[in-house]
Amino acid sequence: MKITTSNPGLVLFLIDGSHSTGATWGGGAEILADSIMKQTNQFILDLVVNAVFDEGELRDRIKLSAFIAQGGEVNWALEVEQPSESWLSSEQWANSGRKAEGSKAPLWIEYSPVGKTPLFEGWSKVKQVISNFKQQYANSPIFLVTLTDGDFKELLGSKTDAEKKQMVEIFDNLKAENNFTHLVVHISSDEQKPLVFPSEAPDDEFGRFLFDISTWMPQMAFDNPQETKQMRRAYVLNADPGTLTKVLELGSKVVYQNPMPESNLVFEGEEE
Amino acid sequence: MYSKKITRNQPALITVLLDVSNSMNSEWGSSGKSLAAGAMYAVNRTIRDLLFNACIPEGEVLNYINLAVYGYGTDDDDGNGIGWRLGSLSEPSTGYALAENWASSQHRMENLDLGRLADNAQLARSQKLPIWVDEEAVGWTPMCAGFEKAASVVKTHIANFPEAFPPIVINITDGQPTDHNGDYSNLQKAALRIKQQETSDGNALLFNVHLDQDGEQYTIMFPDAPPQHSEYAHELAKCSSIIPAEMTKQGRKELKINIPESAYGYCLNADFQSLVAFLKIGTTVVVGEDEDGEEQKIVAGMVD
Repeated sequence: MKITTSNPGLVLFLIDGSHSTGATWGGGAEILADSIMKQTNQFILDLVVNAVFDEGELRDRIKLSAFIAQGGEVNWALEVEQPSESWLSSEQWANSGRKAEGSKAPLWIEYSPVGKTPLFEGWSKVKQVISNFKQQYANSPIFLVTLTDGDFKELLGSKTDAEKKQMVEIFDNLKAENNFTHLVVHISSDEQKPLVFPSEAPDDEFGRFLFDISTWMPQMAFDNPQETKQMRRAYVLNADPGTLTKVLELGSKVVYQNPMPESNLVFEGEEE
Repeated sequence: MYSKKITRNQPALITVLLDVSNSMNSEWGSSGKSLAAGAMYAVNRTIRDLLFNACIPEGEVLNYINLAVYGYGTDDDDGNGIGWRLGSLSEPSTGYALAENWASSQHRMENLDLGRLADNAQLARSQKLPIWVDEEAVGWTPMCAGFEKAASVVKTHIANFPEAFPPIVINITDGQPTDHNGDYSNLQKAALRIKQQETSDGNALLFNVHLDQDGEQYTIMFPDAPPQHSEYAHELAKCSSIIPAEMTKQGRKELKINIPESAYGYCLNADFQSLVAFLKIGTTVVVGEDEDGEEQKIVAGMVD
């Protein structure tokens, strides 16, 4: 269903803002946290340009919400004060990004990496936001992006099997509803080979868990018939900087509900 | 933060504080060697690694690492128990020495046999090591004064190199401070005087290596919460900086050490190999583009 002012989409970010995202990645000098901020702010700018502004007028087609998991807490991540419903209307967020020298996009999300990564608590929080949103906009599309560097792995080890199963079930319930997409992006500082939109779960427990809580990518995201030969999961493991950019570009297609020119992503197991 | 590469224009500062009090005569676990001997070996090896990995990229000593080594024990030369301990150099007015000066200031070369102190016997016995810092153990433990001294050296360095990688202070000690008047908040305050200072790349870093006579029965490396082993261990860990993410990443990658996220730069009763690894991680600086050369990607503390 196409997003409209009466049927607005909800875009949520859950960002791992932990200490480990202060490391450089991809062989460059930029730290992970800076890349995450740059890409998410660019993503939000793209929303403004492609979905919110229409013929010079601002339309309330996208509600925005963002949380950051860091230092043992999950906090509201946007500059505008957190409203009771935990999402902002387009009027509230579109012009609220801070203009910063040297940054192409205004800064809606800014943080410094610190502490550990309470992603379980983060997912519980966004689940509540999604439930509330669904009560008001039953048929609207919802796009959740989880961005983590994978240091969450050690915390996953501290969770019981029952807790992990419960979290997967929460997402299974959300997935059962139409128009919900959960893109899980594991951004690595380890320079390992990326696994992009796989069709099958990885072998390791950590990868399988993240795969399980992600959704299938909507077919509308892929405008190249070759890419739609098989169902692909909205899950990326060990993304490098270039992959992160392309994955978020592709994710934006889901939000606009309107395919854009084909990406150059190389999928798992396919020739470039 | 903590991503600045070091250059000759913006060199790194590494300050080593060495507890040279009498209790460092105690045996390191069941190694047959004293804590002072083990600490001396580890410090000299670290200095050697810094010299060869960071300061001699092409056979010539370049000023990438400024270095200070101070010992603290009450029988010392400035009346407060703090004394310069780096090679044959006199204490510079800045409180730190340039590589071109400290590189060749070693007292001597020495063949060291650490025996059981080193897990890797072959490695230990084959070490021919320049000795810049001698083994010593006498008097009390004025650690707060040591922190104050390091803070003044850090202050001078930051004033001279405000854009550089933040100064690193490594404190190696076996026991309780004797100048904190029984109040650990005095130790925390002294540590803060180091950690509160900052360059444009982040706050100065204080890492603590804690050796005590319990030996390896109580070994802790890079805890993610201050340990409860003893009040002193708790306080010493608490005043340690959180290991920067880049150091954590390099430690995991190069040394295969499982460092938890947001860990304290603290170790208690590490064995010798672990102590050397701790110092490698704690002195991780990346040499950047030289004024007239190509960019070098050398992680100074990490290359063997």
